[in-house]
Formats: sequence, structure tokens, C-alpha cells
Amino acid sequence: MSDQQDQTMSEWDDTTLNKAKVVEATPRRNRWDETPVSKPSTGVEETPKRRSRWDETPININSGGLSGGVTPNYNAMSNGGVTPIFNNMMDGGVTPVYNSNNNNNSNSNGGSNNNKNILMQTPDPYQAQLQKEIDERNRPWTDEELDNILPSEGYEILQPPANYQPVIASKKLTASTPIGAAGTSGGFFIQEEQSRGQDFGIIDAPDGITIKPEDKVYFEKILQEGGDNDEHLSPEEQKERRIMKLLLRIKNGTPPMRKQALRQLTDKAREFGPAPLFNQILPLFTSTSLEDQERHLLVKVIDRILYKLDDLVRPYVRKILSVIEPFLIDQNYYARVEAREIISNLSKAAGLASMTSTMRPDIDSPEEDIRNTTARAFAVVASALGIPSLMPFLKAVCKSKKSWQARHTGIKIVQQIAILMGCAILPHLKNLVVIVEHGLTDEQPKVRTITALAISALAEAATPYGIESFDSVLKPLWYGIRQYREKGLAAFLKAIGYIIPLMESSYASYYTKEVMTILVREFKTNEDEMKKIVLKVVKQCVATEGVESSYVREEIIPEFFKQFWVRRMALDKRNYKLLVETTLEIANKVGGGEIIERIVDDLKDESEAYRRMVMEAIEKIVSTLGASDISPTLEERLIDGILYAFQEQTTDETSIMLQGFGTVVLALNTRIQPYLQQIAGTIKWRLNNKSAKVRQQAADLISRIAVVMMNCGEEQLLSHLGQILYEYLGEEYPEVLGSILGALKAIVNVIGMTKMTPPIKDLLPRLTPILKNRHEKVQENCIDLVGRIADRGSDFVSDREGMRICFELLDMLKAHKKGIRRAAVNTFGYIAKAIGPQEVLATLLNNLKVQDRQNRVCTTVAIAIVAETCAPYTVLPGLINEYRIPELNVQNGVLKSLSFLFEYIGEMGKDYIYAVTTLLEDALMDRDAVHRQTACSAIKHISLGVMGLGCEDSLTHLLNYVWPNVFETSPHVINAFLEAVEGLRFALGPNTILQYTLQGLFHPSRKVRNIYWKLYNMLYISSQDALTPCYPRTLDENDNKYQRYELDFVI
Amino acid sequence: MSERESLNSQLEHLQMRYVGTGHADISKHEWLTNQHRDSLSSFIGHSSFLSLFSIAENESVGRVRYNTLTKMISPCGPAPKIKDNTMDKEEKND
Repeated sequence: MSDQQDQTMSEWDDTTLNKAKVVEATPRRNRWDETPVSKPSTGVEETPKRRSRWDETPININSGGLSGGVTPNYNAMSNGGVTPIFNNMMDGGVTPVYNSNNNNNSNSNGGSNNNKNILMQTPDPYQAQLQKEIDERNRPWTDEELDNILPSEGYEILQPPANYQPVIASKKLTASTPIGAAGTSGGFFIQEEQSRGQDFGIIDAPDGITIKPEDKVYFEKILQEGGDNDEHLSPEEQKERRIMKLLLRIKNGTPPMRKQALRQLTDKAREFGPAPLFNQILPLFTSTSLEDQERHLLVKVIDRILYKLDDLVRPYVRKILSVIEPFLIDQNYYARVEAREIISNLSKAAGLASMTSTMRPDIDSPEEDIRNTTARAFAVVASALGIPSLMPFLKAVCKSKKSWQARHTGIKIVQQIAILMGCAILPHLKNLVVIVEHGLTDEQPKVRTITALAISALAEAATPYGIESFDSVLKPLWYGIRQYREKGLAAFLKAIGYIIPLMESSYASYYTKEVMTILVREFKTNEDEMKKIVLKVVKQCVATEGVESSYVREEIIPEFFKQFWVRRMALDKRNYKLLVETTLEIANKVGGGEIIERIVDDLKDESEAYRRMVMEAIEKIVSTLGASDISPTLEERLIDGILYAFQEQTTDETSIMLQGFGTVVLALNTRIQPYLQQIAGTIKWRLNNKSAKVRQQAADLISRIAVVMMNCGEEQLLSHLGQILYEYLGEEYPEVLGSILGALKAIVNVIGMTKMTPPIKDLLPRLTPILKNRHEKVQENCIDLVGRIADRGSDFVSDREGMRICFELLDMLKAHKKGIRRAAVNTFGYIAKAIGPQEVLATLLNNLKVQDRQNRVCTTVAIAIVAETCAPYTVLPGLINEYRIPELNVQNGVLKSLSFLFEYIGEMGKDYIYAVTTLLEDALMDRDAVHRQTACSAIKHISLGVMGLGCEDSLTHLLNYVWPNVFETSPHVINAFLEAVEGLRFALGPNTILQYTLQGLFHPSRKVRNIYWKLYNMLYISSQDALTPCYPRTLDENDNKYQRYELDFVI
Repeated sequence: MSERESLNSQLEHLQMRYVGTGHADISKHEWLTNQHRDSLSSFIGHSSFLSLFSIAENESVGRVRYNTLTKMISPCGPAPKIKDNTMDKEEKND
């Protein structure tokens, strides 16, 4: 029985994909050894060079001399366990590595000798690296290091007690540990660097490609001296080296190198033949040191050569599959996806027949994992070649009389197909169900279980369709849930749980009632898996339309809360989530008040994790269902509980409490009024807490509930809180300061500028220095607040304060976060409006001279915004004057500002178009392409703004300057040109542009024709109809009548 | 270089999806046929054109409409046979 249980247990694990480790241990791996290429499994010893770093560093020799006599002591010590601390630190076989190393080093000073020692202990190169790093970090402190850290005064080096034996030994030892000695004075950093240089030492390969030492094994042949010298090699070897070189370039080369190599490899794939190709690729693919990116590249290689090789690949299907299949259950998601892709391509290249014949033997393999991966591989084949083509095979396998393993795998394939393909199974649903249904009554429990799981996967994939396909399995499932217990039952319940939502409401109600007795019985279960399934099924049943609330209330709720709302459920994350979701579903059915009533008192439970789960459930319920059915008494208990839970928080996980509190307060709205004093008291208390997290949470809470406080008419209280927050502006933790600023912002928003306490004229000067803070959260909140004040309360902003803010804002334009830059730019506008544009503008114009491009771009945007808010005539003269400065950046900045400016002011532009025409003329004639480009985009915005406002004269003039840029080749310039023409098309009409275009359409030079036809097409697509009257008159030729005589009609 | 190409080819590709757009190697006949078809469909689209033509031709509006539609099949007559190889020469000049 226990054996059986174990087996069934692994059934569950299949779905969670955590079996990768086990797979590695299966004998299946041996098949890789079929490949003749050198393999890393035993080949670690082949990398002697890497290890020789020990004698490469001169410091080691030094340490070696010291350590000679000391190390044995250390050894004895760690074995004997005299100093328990050291033992703890060094367990896991770390010490021996060091020792052997040290000994050998000191004696022979030759690296090759000790290699074997180390390598045999750590066959995996990664492991070795890791281990070494751990060792290095955990090595004992030296006296010197301690001297560096601790002050010399006030500390005393104590003599150890007389009975403490190994003290002297250990002291010497610490000084002599190889690495400790290596960088004695340097502390951690220098040593780390040193070891990194040696450890991750990069090997130079041909073509300047660098590879990791771990990869060296695979590319050894071409890495050796004279690897390029092919003459004495046989053709086979030459081929091998060529492939190797190409693979190396693909794997580690630069992108152009990789592209070229990939193309070569693909083109030559048939020439090389599958054998040498796969003999090299497959071992690489299984390398432990393969990174995601590299694996992806290899997958790409395999995909391409599979496509090229096509049916040539058939003899190698087995080999490829044996390497790729284990990746189907890898822990890494990307590995699984890539493996699927390869198998899918493989099945397309090799065909169904060869795939099935290859994988057939694995179907009844005694190894569970082989069957598992085979099932997954078959599912991939089905999705690649279509389910129908695999159907006859599946039918046969699922009915196999030979062994239950085959039936099990067959049914598992169906399950995997459903999981992999989702709703794409719908057309074949009936057939798939028919194929597996007999498994429900199989004599093997494992087959029954997997069948139920397959059916639940099918039902899940089919939701909400296809109930008719499941008719035939309802009865056996039904008997099943009455007959079985434990795991078998769980699978059957899961299947029913997924089928019920597909049913019509009346049936659903009937079946829910039937299944519920069993579910309620299973509420008591201790099995984790069963618990999860029961919760899931309850959620699905309750959500079904046909189930009445009275039924849920009477039959489910009492037992449900008794069994599930217990502390233990809060400990497991998945249980926790499921329980909250299920409870929310029940609340949807019976109403939120009733459910909250049941759990509200648990807000005062002793266990914090449990309180949090209760809070989350309440938060979810209140946010979906509102607070209207919460009675006054319940309301009181709820607030009381929340306040308790809020105050009793000790862990760092604060967001749930905060969110729950905020949601409930928002939902209750004015009903919260009687409790506000108490809440405010709590907040005040917590704002003063010594833990930063608590203060931050309190401030966050204020910003969430400020609106409700205002609704409740608690203006007084808000002002009071504002005053307190103001006093806390000296906060040193940036996260907290950010939250405090956010809270102030929320208060200012609801209370208004005039009534705000502290008065804005006091608040603003306190904020200006905070703008200097480099923390993003602080910056963002502060600038929002300042912007809000400048916007709404411009009377309170003094000129000097405004300028000071402006200077701070300039720095903000460098911020990484877009939100901050945008807020800064907008604030410029508000401030300019408050204190007048002149001085702000001067500051901004000066800023155009800076080097940083992003800063300049933001400045130009700010200038444009100032122009928009303070009317363009206040800004334009200064701006145009600035253009006279013979400096590229400044002039471009001015042009860019003009571009933004005209974009923002739109129609207003008609009054300013003459003012800027000469400037744009100049820019369009400039030698610098960026000038012309920016001027073009300015013209685009101008023309779009003034369309139909009678500015054709100057626009035509400008078009004459724009047009010569038609042959520009730089992509940005030509794009700007095209956009300018497009804009002018709107303002001047398509026919004006057509007349310009006609001249080049049949030009002798193709280059001219190309761009002119592009312009023509642009025109044609956007104003096809409008062009018709204006095409040039063309005379008839021979048989062709080219005249459009209708246009000459005159009446 | 690649960016420039992709930028251009993208736009061109977009344009080529529409009937009636042209390209550097278009023939005069092809272009004019397009012009004619566009004009004819424009006439049908704007009913005032049809009224004007029906008065000028002394035909009913329906007849004019029908004639216009029929004309769209081959508005300029058959394409002239290409006998000269000026195109090739021109290529060399580029």
C-alpha cells in the first residue's frame, strides 16, 4: 500500500513540474554516452590549467611557507570538533578541500597534482566555483583585518583561558589560510577581485571570441595551437572542426559573426550530414553551464538544420529525443518552451511515423519519469501535427492490454494535450473523452487517477463549452467519488469540480448538492493536496449559477468556516490564496456582511499571519461587494478589529493591512465618521513610531483616507494631521519621507490651498530643499506637491521661492523616471504662470547650453510649456534672440522648442508664423542636418496648427525651403522631411504638393524617381479623390486615349 | 544603413498594399489608367458631376453612370506593347 501511495503521490507532482532533479538520476541519461564526442561527465580532469591558478599568484607561495606546519592542526581541529563554531562554519566538506590544496601547494608547489583531489570532490565546475566563493567569504578573520575595523582604543585583546587548547594553532591558522593571507590588508573587496580574475578566467579562442572555461571541453580541438592548420587532418576531422568553429561563433560570437555562422551552418547542413552536426550540438545542449541565451541560440541552430535536413534526420530522432525530452520537465520555464519547440520541429521534419515508432518503447517503460517525458513529448507532437493524426495511435495505447503503464501513459498524453493546447482541443473533445473514459474503471488505481486528472484537464481546457462530450464519464465519476478515498477520490473530485461549471444551471445545482456531501466530509481532511482540491471544487460549485444562496448558507458555510478558517491555513501560501478566493466566491453568493460577520472577530487572533489572511479576505469582499450590507454592530466590530490588527503588526509585510484598512474606510465612507478620531489617534501614534516601516504605513494610510475624512466633514482633523506631517518633514528615511509628502499632497488636495494648515507660505519653503533629495519616491511626491501648490495656490508662491524651485527643477530633468521629468516640466509651466515667465525663461535658455541631451530635450519641452501657459509673445522674442548664439546645441534647442511650442499652441500659431518664418528659413538652409530636421518638424506642427487659417503665403514660402531636402538619406532627416510635407499637404492642399511631385516622377535617375514616387504614393493614399481634377493633361497616343474629356465640358 | 532601408521599405510596403499607388518602374499607361479609374470613380461618387455630364451629353443620369462604370474596365485602351529597351539603358545611367 505504501508503495502504491508513493506512486500515486508522484502523480501529483507531475503537474507541478518539480521533478527535474529525479530525472537526472535515471539511467536514461546514459544514452548520451552514445555520442562519440568527448563528454564533460568524466572530463573534468581534462581542465588542469584552470586549477593551476593556485601557483600562479605569488602570494600563495608566501602563504604556502607558513601553512606547511599549521594546516594539520586545522584538520585535527575540525575533525575533533574542539571549536564547535568553526565546525559549523566549515561543514559540508569544505575544509578538506582547503587542506589538500594547501598541503600540496606548500609541498610541491605544482598545481597539477592537487587537481585530482579537488576535482574528484567537486565534479561540477560550477559547484567548485560556488564552493570556493563560499569558502572565501566564510574564512576566519585575520588579526590585521580586525585591527582595521575595530578602533584601537577602548578594545582589548583578551587572553584565552588556559584550558582552551587549540587557540594558538587556530590563530596561526587563520593567518595562513591561503586566501586570508592572499590579501591580508585588503579586506574583502580586493580579494574578491583577485579571485575573480583567476576564477572566471576567460579563455581566448580564435576570432577573438572569448569563452568560459567550462565550455573549453567542447571546443578543445579548435582551441589548441595550430587548430587552424587542417592540412594533415582527414576530411572527417576537418568537417568536425569546421562545425565546431561555426558553433563556437554562434554560441559566443558577436551578433554579426553569429548571423554569418548560422547562415553558413544552415546552408551547409545537408552537406555536413546529421551525424557530425548532432554529435556536437547535443552534448553542448546538455552542458550544465549553458545560459538561457546560449541555449536559445542552440535551439535556433537545431531548428534551422532540422528544417534543412528534413527526412535525413530520421535515424537521429531517438538520439535527439533522448537529449531533449528531459528538458520538458526542467524547472526553467524557458528550457521547457525551447524543448517543446525542438520536438515540434523534429516531428515536422521526421514525420509522425518515425516519431511514434521511436517513442513507442518508452510508453510502457518501468521508469515513471521516462513515461512522463514521453507523454509530454507526444503532446507536443500532437500539437505540431494535429490531434486527428495521432488519434488512432492514442486509441490503441489507451486500450493496451499488455501493460497498465502503457494505458497510463496514453491517458497522460491526453491530459498533456489538453494542458498544452487549451481550447484548441474542442473539435476533438468527444473523441478524446471516449478514448480515456474506460480508464475510470480500470483495475489499476494509478490509471484511474490519471484518467480523472485527464478529464479535469479536458474540462478545464474546454470551459465553458462541451458538456455534452462529458456525458459518458459522469456516471463512472459519480460512482468513483462514492467508492474511493484519499488520492483517488481527490482526482475524481477535481474532475467533477471542473465539469460542474460547464453544466446547465439545474443540473449544476443537482450535481453540486450530490457532490457536496462528500466535499463537506472531506473538509476535515489533513491531506494538503486534498484540501486544495476541495477548496477549488467548492469555489467552482459555489460560483455555478444553479446553486442557491440558501443552500450554500445552510449546507456549506458552517462546516466550511469550522474546518478551513483556522490558523494553520494561513501558513501555506497556496492554501492561503485559495481559501481567500473561495471565501470571496461564497461571499458573492450569500452576501458580504454574513461572511465578514463570521471572520471579523479573527482580526484579533493571536497569529499575525492568520489576521493578515482575514484582512485580505475582508478587503477582497468589501472591494467587490461594498459595505452596504454591513450592519452597524458589525461595522463597530469590524473597525475595532481592523484597528487592533493594524496596531499589532510586527512583520514587514504591511501592504495587505494598509490596503484592507484603506478599502474598508473608503467603502464605509461617511459611516466611518464616529471612528475617525480613534483612527487619527492611531495614525498619530504610529507616525511617531521608531520603526520606519510603521511611520511609512501610517503616512500612506493618511493619503488613502484623506478623501473620506473630508467627506465626513473632519476638516479640523485633517488640518491637524497636516500640521503633524509638516513637523515630520525632517524624516531621514527616504521611503517614509516620500509617503509623508504623499500624505500632505492628499490633504492639500482635499482641503484646498487657502484653508491648508500649515499655510502654504510656510510649507513651500520647507519643500524646496527636499527637491534636492535624490530618492525617486521623494522626488516624485515632492514635485507633485510643489506643482500642485504652484498650480492652485500661485498667490502663495513668492518670486524668490519660485526661482529657487526652478533651479532645483532643472536637476530633476535628469531623472531616470519619466514621471518625474514630466512632473518637473509641468511645474515649470505653473511656476512661470505664478511668477511671470521672464526669469524662468532666462534660466531655461541658459540650460540649453548643457551637454546632456536628455536635459536639453526636457528644457525645450519646458520652454514650450512656459510659452503655452504664459502666451507665446512673452517667450518668442527671447527664444528667437537665443538662436543668434552660434552654438549647435543652443540653436537646435531653440528649433526644438519652436517645434514643441507650435505643437502645443495649435491654432494660436497663426499669429506667430510670420515672426518665425525667417528663422526657419535660415535653419532650413543650414549645413547641419539636425537644423534642417528640427526645422522640418517645427514646420509640420505649424502647418497642422494653422490649417485653413489663411497662412498659405508663408507656408508656400517655407515649402520652397523644405523641398530641397527631398534627397536626404539620413533616416531621421528624411522622415522629418516627409512629415513636414505631409503637414503642408493639409495646410496647402494636396494639389500644391502634387505639382512639386510631378517633376520627378519620370526622372531618368532611379534614385530621384524612388523618392518622388514615395511622395506621390503618400499623397495618393491620403487624398486620392482630391487629386483627380489636377492630374496633368496628357495627350492621346496611338490606340490609347489619355485625355479625360469629361473635364472639358462647359455648359 | 539597415535602419534606413528598413524604414523606407516598411513605408513602401505599406503603400504597395493600396491599389493605384505607383513605383519607380511604372509605365505611363499604367499610371494614366489609374488616374482615369480614380477620376471615373470620383465622378460617380459626386452626383453633381453625373448631373453635369448628363446635361452636357444629353443622356439620362443613369446612362451616364452606367457608361462611366463600363469605361472603368479599360479606360485608356490596351497597354502598348513594349518594343524599345530604353529602360535597360536607363538602368545603366543610374
